[in-house]
Amino acid sequence: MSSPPAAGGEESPTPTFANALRAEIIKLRSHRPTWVLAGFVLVLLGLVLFALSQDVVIRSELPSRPLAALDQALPAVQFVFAAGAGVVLLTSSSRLVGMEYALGTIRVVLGRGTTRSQLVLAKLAAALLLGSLLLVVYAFLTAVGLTLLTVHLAGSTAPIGVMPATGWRQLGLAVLSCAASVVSCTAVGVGVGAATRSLTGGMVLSILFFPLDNALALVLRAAYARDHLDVLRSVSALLLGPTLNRLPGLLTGQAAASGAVLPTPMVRLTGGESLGVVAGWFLVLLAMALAVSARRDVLA
Amino acid sequence: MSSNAAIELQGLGKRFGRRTAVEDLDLTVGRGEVFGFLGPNGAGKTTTMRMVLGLVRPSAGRLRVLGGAIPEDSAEVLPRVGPLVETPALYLHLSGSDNLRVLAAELGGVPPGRIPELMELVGLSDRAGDRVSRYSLGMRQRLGLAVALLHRPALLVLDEPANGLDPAGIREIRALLRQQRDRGTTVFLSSHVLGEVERVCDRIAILRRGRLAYTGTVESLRGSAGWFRVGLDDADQALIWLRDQPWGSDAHLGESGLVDVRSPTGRGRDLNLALAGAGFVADSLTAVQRDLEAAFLELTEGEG
Repeated sequence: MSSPPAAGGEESPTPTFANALRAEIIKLRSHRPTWVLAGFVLVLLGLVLFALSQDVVIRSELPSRPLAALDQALPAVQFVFAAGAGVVLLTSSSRLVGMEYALGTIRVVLGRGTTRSQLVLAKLAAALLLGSLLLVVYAFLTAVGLTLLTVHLAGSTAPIGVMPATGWRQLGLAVLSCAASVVSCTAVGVGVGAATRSLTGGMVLSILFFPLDNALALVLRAAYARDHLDVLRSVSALLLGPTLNRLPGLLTGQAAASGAVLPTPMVRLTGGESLGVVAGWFLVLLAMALAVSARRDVLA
Repeated sequence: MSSNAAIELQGLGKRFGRRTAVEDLDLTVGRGEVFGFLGPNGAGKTTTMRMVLGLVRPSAGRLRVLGGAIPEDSAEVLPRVGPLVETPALYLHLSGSDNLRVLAAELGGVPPGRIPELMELVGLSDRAGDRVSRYSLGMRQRLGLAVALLHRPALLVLDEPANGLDPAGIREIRALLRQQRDRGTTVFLSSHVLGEVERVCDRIAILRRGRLAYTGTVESLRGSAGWFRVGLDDADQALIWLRDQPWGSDAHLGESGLVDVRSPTGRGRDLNLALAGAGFVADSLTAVQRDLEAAFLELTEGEG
């Protein structure tokens, strides 16, 4: 060790939410596996776009009826985002929380005056920013891909120019449905990470959350078929995974790819009500993350 | 409570279920002091340090740090504290510099030039860009110290800062702690390297089974057991007489034929009077200064 820095008085740092968020962004930015996974999602998008370019309906409809082609293309694109970005967000958000306990860095962060609620909210905000970035890049690349496909099949971008307003509205609602998925996965990751205080446990449980949620929907469906209890139908309407499976179809009016193959609630909610369920889960998971972080001793 | 204290603990206690980790602990660390916090493993040192840092909530008692109550005033007080609790906690996937950068961002208000300055201070400039996962334990310990010093804290809370360091590194830590004291920084230090504690600490506290067993200066602890080394003409006869006394049963022949014996009251003059009363005139009588390790082991016998 060399001579000390020039003597001076103590500094007066002020940990704030903004400072905590800045630190979380640096942590996230430097985590290579997150970006590798995100890159993998974009590769999947490329494969989907290539498959769509070979689709008979799209090839025949796109030049003359772009809305029909869009109806054909959107569900697959949305499904890949929900599944791919979902995995990225579930793992990265639960990792952001669990990592602090696994490495013991929670002692350094909290021992310097960052409050527990500031830390939880900063982690949530950082994960939401990652999700938003993924969504923007995904939407942009999808737009570029579909435009190139249009030019390839129709010889120009004219079909995009004549697409009716309904088509643009559907695109907007598709983005909204993807945003709901981003919000849900982020909240699940942070909530489970805070509850388990474990890197591996948090990541595993976050990944398992939606399969378990969907499995529960199937169990409820089977139980309802046997007992015909209305409460089982009502409970199924509160499950997050099945709600997200049906949401794209509810918002855009298309047959959602996820809703076709994955369980959905037994009660038919409106798009607004489904968004209400997503918002409710977000708030419950956030409240849980804040509550379990607030008073428990840090022994990591 | 005194506003001039850096740390004040009053009746502090912590239970984990049915296990009591810390009990009725009263302690004051003055501002600008280097204070050693000792005790065998499991004595409650780390739990106490965690309570000071607001990481663990006390079950009983009151706790003030730099004049503010913990946990109530944590947000105002803790940004002025530099912690290093147990093993250094670092982001292994980040470089040494990036670890400091993350924590500087977390705190805010740390000048950018401070990071290379600190890497230089702890001797890690050459490895600043390497991932921490490739650092040795000693290098991580040095980086942990840099993290603690990042914002020139008013109070350093250091749990085993010499852990994993070679002798040269331990000496550097000692010099660093002295520099911090000269700057007016209070240091609350736990260490198993008693020789280092002896060299740098103004005062110490020893914890035993979660309770305070001693608090005071190292010097007074070393001389506090009331042992004396006595020069006597007839040492053998004196030893026989001394061993018959209820307070002298562990008297023994020490170095150079001198008798080592405990005073009946802890004071040299009372031992001298007792010997003279029995007809043994002392040629010399000096207080035995034990080293800190001996005193520590005596106070914590059977622990750890």
